[in-house]
Amino acid sequence: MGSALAVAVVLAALIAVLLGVSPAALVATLGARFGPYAWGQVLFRATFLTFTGLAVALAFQAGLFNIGAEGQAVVGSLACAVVGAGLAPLPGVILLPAAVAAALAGGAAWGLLPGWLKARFGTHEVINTIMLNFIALAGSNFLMTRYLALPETVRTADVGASLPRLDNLVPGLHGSAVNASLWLALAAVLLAHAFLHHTAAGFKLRAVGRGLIQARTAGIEPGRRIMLAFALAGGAAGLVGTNFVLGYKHYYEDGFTGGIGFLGIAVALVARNEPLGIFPAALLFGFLAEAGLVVNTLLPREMVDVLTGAILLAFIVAERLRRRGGRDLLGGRRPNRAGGPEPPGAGAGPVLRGAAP
Amino acid sequence: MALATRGGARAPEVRLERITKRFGATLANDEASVRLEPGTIHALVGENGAGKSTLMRILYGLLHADCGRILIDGVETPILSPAQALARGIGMIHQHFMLVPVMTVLENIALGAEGLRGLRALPRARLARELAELFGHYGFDIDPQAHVADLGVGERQRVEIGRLLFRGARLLICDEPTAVLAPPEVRAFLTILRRFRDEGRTVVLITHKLGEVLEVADRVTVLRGGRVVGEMEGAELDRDALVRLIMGDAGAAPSRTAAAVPIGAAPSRQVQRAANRGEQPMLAARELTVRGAGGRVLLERVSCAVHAGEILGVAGVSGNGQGELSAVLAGRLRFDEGTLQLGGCHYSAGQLPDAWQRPALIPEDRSSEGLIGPLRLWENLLLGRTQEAPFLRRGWYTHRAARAWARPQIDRFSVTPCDETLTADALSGGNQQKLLCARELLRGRRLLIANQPTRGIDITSTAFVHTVLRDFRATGGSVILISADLDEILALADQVAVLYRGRLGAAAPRADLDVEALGRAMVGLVAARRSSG
Amino acid sequence: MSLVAVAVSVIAQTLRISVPYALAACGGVLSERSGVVNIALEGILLNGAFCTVVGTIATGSPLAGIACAVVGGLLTAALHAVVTIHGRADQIVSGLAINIMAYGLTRGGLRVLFRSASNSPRIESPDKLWGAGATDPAGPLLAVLGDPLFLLAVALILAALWFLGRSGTGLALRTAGEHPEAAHSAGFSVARLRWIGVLASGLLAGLGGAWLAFEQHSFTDQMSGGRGYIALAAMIVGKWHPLGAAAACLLFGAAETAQIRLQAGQAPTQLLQMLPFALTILVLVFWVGRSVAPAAVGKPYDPEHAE
Repeated sequence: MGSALAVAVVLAALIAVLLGVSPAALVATLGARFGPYAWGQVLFRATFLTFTGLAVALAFQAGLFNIGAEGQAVVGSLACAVVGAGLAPLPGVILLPAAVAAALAGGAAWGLLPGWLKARFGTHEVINTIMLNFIALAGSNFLMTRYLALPETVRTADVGASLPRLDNLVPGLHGSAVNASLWLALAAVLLAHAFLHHTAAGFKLRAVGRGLIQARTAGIEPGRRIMLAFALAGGAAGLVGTNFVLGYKHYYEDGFTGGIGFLGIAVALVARNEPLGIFPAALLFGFLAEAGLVVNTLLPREMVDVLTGAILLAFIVAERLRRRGGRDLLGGRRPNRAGGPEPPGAGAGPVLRGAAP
Repeated sequence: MALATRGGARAPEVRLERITKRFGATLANDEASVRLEPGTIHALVGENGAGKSTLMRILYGLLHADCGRILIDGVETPILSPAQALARGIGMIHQHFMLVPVMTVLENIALGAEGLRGLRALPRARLARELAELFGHYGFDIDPQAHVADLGVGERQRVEIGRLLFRGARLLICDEPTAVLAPPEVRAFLTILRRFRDEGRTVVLITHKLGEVLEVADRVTVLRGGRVVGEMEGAELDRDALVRLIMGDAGAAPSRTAAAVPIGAAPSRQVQRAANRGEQPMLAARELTVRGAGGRVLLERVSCAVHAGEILGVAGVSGNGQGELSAVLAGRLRFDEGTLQLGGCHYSAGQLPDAWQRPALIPEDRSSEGLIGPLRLWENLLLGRTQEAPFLRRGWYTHRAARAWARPQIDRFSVTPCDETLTADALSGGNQQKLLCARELLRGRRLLIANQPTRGIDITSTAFVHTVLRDFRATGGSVILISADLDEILALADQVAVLYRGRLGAAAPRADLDVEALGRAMVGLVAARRSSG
Repeated sequence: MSLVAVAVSVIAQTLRISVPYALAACGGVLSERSGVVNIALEGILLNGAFCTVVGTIATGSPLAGIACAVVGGLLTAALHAVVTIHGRADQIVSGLAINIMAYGLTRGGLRVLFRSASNSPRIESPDKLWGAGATDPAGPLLAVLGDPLFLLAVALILAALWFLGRSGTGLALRTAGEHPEAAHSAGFSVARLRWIGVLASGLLAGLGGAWLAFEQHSFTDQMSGGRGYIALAAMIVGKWHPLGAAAACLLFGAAETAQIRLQAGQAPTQLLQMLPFALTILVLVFWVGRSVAPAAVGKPYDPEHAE
């Protein structure tokens, strides 16, 4: 994390200079305008990124590239809004868990698709998840315009209950959108850590991620692990709905997800795919996004994307240099590499073929 | 004629002086110096890990030395890449072939040859003719248009040699070339080497097989721990002296070469008892057939049986179906025809035994099939044993409990360093193999399939693994030992069968064995034995 | 319209739609055959389109726009090459990061240079080499075939085919993707071969972006629309062969043509928009096991640590 921070600072300064803006002016503006509201917004964004970061990290731990966090977030959020509005008359103590469960289930289902495709057919998840993102966005648009949106609007009906904003607790954050789903995000992170490192199921998932052939030889069946990993990942992404729908707007509208799926990849990698590192990494990228808005007068806010991409590049190169001897994203040794995510190909056939049930 | 100028000229005299090379913390070469005289067969011997390969890879430009220099005909010549080595007439055949299976022989040989780089079209017809001539000259029976994937191991090796000859190599480095050959092929190969020497070329033979050294080498350099510890030539060559040099203070440990192995020893009494009592075998395979992609037959009508307290040795050169045999007998691969009986249960085509019924399996490649490098030792021990691990409480575990469980097992199997928090790829090959044995033997199964269990590991670890297998047999367990090392089979097995091109010959008791016939069977020179019972 | 006219129009439209896919897919072939996964094709398409518009508006000449697209594509690809070949970092993540940067750069550039959040001013396509009367039923097809960029695309794809299959360097490049140690052992620099593959993909995909920009006569935000990813699928379906990939792209192009024509009818827009993406998934499922990637693709080559 420290190296990511350093890289971020250096690259930000570089971009500023290249565009004729003095880094000092940037810092000054930030200092002046970055108040408690902005910090609240940082936490708000970080909640999103924690969920999508988890979605990517959990999949990576199983050796899979989950580029589909965006689509999984869309499906989960939509499900959350629909259930939340549909059960509106019910009291919050029933409705809220139901809506959260819907978010989880929606995202998990959308994540299970590429997982199943990979386990059953061996097709590579990179292209599949990207395709499913587009499909989810188009599908959501379709459902919204045809069935779900309130007349004359682009949003669904209000949900019956909501998660409280945190500015009730901490008045200083007043107005910012950060809400109780932050606790949910932190809980998710802890649960993910416990699962990966202290359960047999989590162990088998990590084994498959670092050595699929070895795991299969030892009797672990990879297909189920892959599907489980994707279901968990999708569910984590789906929980994005609790932040946006339940905690912020109280309804669903298209387009709110803009890019958090890809940012989740950055978060996961900076956290080295470890759940405990996800929240700090999410804070980092959340801060960058908010800072980009704050200094918008000096630097176009799209530069944040450029900065994010550049940080990611610099980070993966720095990580590789750090681990001489060539370890891949999960520490597997090359060229004798038997684990970690593989590049897209037509696959070697179903992962289960010829192997033990 | 092109052939005459290619390689007809005399080989250069090459000297490596005080070469030092480090890989991280490991000192692979320590001030090693060697003089390679033209027109000789120069053997480089030593244990696995002694630094022979590294030294020659430096000469070939694949690696760069940290210190030291290379002199060619007395002139200091830095060699920074294989391109430069080839330009000076130095070529290398590697242990793992540098051939692209999906391409043809012609394409593999044309790769990078003089005048064949750049954007101009390859003159395929001309090349095919020249290659046919070259192959004919040396008696290699290879079609230049064949795909390498369709060639056998011995033929691929000849393609590698052909490529170097085509590029005009006058000094040929051969890295463990006979590791993949069966005895008759080895003899043919050594004959080719002698021919090269008589033509005036230099041959550097990297090997750990002393029998070959004694047969063809003119000079021998012995390496141990990265250092040159002795040189011998011609008449002085003596097996015992060589062994002493290779082993150093360890004394005359059992040699892994083609030494005389007592094969008249009586089979273990337990085998006699089990077989005589007519007890059911631990495993019995009948007419097992396994087909791969495109209907290709990988195993054909394989039948065998092994009883309690018995080791069945399956001899065979790599690439004849060992992987499939071990997987199918270990219950991890579905077969297409035949029946398999494991510990009293019968399985037919398409069925697989449940996890707790499957035999233990030590797979062929410990780093890509056996252990997971980035995982720690205790995690590797847990692999596949999560059902049986006592420290799991309803699927949950703490690291402390797991490590406490793992530590005694690591210790018992002599894995060094005895630290369960190390990652598996931090161990040496021998220790990795011992860890694998620990994992598999502690499953408590009565049947173990071991595929090349001592490949590429040092002598002490090899001896340990052999002891472990013998102890396992003494307690009544059964082992199916699949190995390309005939000495290992002869030292351990009670019954021996030969695997060739997916077919398993009938098993014969060790007492009845004819080693020569075994060697011939390994290359298919003996017709398939009468069908098994 | 007569049946012939309709058929000609459909063929012409299919060709027009397929060009950016085919260029990107062919670029992908060259890159992956040398051993480097190039997910950044999407970003290169986008950058190429943007550079085309900037170049054309700045100089008034569409040909200058094409040149700018090439430069933009090469620079983007060069970044990917540095990170993956010399940095030996993960190739997929590098591609994704570059795509993120491309989205940001082009959107920012759109806003800053053209003061718009959605599209740039209009640009004119390069002059056609031969035209036809508006009433000529073969008109649309001739217009496509007469487009200099189309001819360039076809020429480059054929050149790639020849290069890979027939030349000595092409053989070496293929070896770098199948067995880089063999290429090294035979005297080649694997890094140099992979640079060739990646830069070639930058050139081709950059031109693909130029085509997109000229087709729409402007640059719009995120106009690559996933084509770079679909091109990768086409590459797989085409078995990593330039002609195979191009043929697969024609297939996807035909599907998209069908989608557009049907959209004018009754079926809901969004469902039809999903079509290319769903088709990609289905095609990949059925193509499993029939198409094998170059053996060493995706793995960085580190000579010092090779076995």
